Amino acid sequence: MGDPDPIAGVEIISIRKLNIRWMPVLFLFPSVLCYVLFKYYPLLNMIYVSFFRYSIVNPPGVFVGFSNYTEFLSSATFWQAVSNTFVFFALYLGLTFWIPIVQALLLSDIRRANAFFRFMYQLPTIVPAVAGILVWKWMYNPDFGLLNYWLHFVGLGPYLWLNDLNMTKLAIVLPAVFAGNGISLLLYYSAIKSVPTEILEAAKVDGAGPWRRIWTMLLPNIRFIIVIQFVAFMSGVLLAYDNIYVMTQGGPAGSTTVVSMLVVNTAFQQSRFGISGAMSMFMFIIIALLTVLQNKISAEKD
Amino acid sequence: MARKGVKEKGQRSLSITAYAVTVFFTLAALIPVLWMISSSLKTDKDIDAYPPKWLPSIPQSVRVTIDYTGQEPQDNVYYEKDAMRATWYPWMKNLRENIGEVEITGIRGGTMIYRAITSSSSFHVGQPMVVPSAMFNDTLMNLKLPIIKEQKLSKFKWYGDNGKAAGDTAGIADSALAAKFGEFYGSTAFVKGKVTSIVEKSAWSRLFDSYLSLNKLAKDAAGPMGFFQYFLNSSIVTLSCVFMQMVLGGLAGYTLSHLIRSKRWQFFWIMFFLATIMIPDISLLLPLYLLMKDLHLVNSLLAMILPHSAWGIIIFLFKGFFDQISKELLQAARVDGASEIRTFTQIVIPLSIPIFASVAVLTFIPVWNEFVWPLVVNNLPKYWTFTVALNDLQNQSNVQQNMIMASSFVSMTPLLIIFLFSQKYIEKGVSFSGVKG
Repeated sequence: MGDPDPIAGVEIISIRKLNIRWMPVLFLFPSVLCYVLFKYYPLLNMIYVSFFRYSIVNPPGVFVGFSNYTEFLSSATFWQAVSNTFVFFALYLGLTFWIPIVQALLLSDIRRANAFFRFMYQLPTIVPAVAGILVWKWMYNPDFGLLNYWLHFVGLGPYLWLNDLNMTKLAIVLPAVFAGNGISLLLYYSAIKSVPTEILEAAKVDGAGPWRRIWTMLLPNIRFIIVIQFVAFMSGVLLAYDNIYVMTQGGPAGSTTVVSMLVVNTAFQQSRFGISGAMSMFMFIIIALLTVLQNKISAEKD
Repeated sequence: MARKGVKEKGQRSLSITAYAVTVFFTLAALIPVLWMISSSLKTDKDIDAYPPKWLPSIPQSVRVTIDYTGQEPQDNVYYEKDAMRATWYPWMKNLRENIGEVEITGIRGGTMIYRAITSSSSFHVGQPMVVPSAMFNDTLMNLKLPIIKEQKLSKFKWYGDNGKAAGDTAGIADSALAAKFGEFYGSTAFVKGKVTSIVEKSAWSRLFDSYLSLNKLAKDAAGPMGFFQYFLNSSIVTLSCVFMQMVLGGLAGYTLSHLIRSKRWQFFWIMFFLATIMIPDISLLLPLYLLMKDLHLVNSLLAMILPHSAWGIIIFLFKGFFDQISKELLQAARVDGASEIRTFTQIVIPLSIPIFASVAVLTFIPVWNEFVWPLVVNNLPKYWTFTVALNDLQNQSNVQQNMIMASSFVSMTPLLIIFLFSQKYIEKGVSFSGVKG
């Protein structure tokens, strides 16, 4: 007993006081309960609902097998929404995805007022999406808006931003171009800062100029985070809802209705719960695949 | 940085590009916010100005003196109606003007018998009920006066015979607004007294009337607390979620990190929690709604709070942080006879303030900004959070952009304050969560 092995010592105590055994249960129980109640049960219920012509007055209604799935998969509205989602994806990819990368690479070169600029980059993150969109909606105002006024100086416009079928999608993406993405920026920035200075110094000695160092040293070092962020970006585009709803409510003529909006509208406007459940299932499968992909890539790095 | 001072080739162009791009995006982030603030301070005339104006002009107070000398004395209701006609009718005719308030002073035989003040926030809230169109007649005010009194739209102070002596009358001032009001009084016979003077003065304090309008508007929908009701709802929901995340997530993270010995069980529970990040919120919208309906929680604050008790990423963040606390330290405490709860509260928590702060901030921002779930689970304005109320404003017909911008600005202030004090915790939190984002 003179010099007890610490592990064995704890075992003795735990057996004597019997508190190590029920403590984990007590500590874990509230979380497990919440997860079952607010994640796993709803998930199973969603799958269950998707097989019924669900009636909210007299649940669950009539069992219809897979017909909810075939119904939404064969509806033109759904494929219109899918194609809108793809257009949004292309627009977001072309106009926004690379912006935080450029911002972070250039920010790493700035010494003066670096913290201030980092703060400013995150400012749009803290404006509630609804408020941010309402400001942009006001700037888009065709008669009194700031944007048409500015564009007339360069001989463009006036545009009917939110009523012109060719403009609405761009009008929804544009705020994100200027607002950037503060969180992604931070991730890229901290990854760039973690590149050892010795490597950079060595490259410098070898005659690589500052632009070349960005291209050959910094960018490859954050390539991994770019890939991860890209997967997260794909789910982000697929799940976009708030900004589109506040800006256009899916209009005009369904030109900005995306799949996530269809899920909500089918349930809460048309009360077709079964179909909405089936579409929820569709969204779940795609997002789950993307998440698994993201984790697989992270795991490969480790 | 050993060779400081020696400029490398290309360094100059890189620096210039870096500053140019960074300043450009900084301005791009700032302009909408500044435009929001500027718009929220504008009167109806400025908000529809073209070209758009950045600096709001100062609202004007129109002060009208009406002289009843030589008329039969009447009761105060008679005068109040007269004052209300003199206020609301010409204002409605000049709806899109830069009017901050209208003040009517009634005098009789050289003494002041009443004073009536109407602010632009009251006018905008009351206008659809009191003067829905520009078609007026004498009897209209008989119907509308009770509304004005009930909603406390105009302040009417009756002095009767005890009023102080009226100052000298200045006549109709030489300004655009005074001329418009004068023309209305001159061309119609609604006002029974004789208009002896109309003056225009700057009223700085009326710059903020869009904010006051919001509050008065919300009183109809959300009850006596007005706009503060939404603020209170958002605060209760957000703070409860932050508290819940810290307690539940902290305990579960600690258990996963230090209390479960079996590697197999540890893996099982980590997967149990972490797997839920695969489920998108939008998929759970419908089943969660059905669940809340079963629990009779639709239209309650609890419905907005409870689902936030299960965020896989939070437990993961806590576990990652607690893993760094040395096992020996905790063993020592246990050997000294400290209970698990004591170990957790007295050793682990003090060591883990940064992660608790990060979790608090990373919970606060998305919950405060959350929109779709509060939108579908509540249909009574009494339970609305800020974001839902804000979205509703744009669908109301008598709401101008200045009110919407005022509301937007109010909705971002708590976040701005939190953010100013916690930027470092956000940055830490992001690096804790690392690439999991």
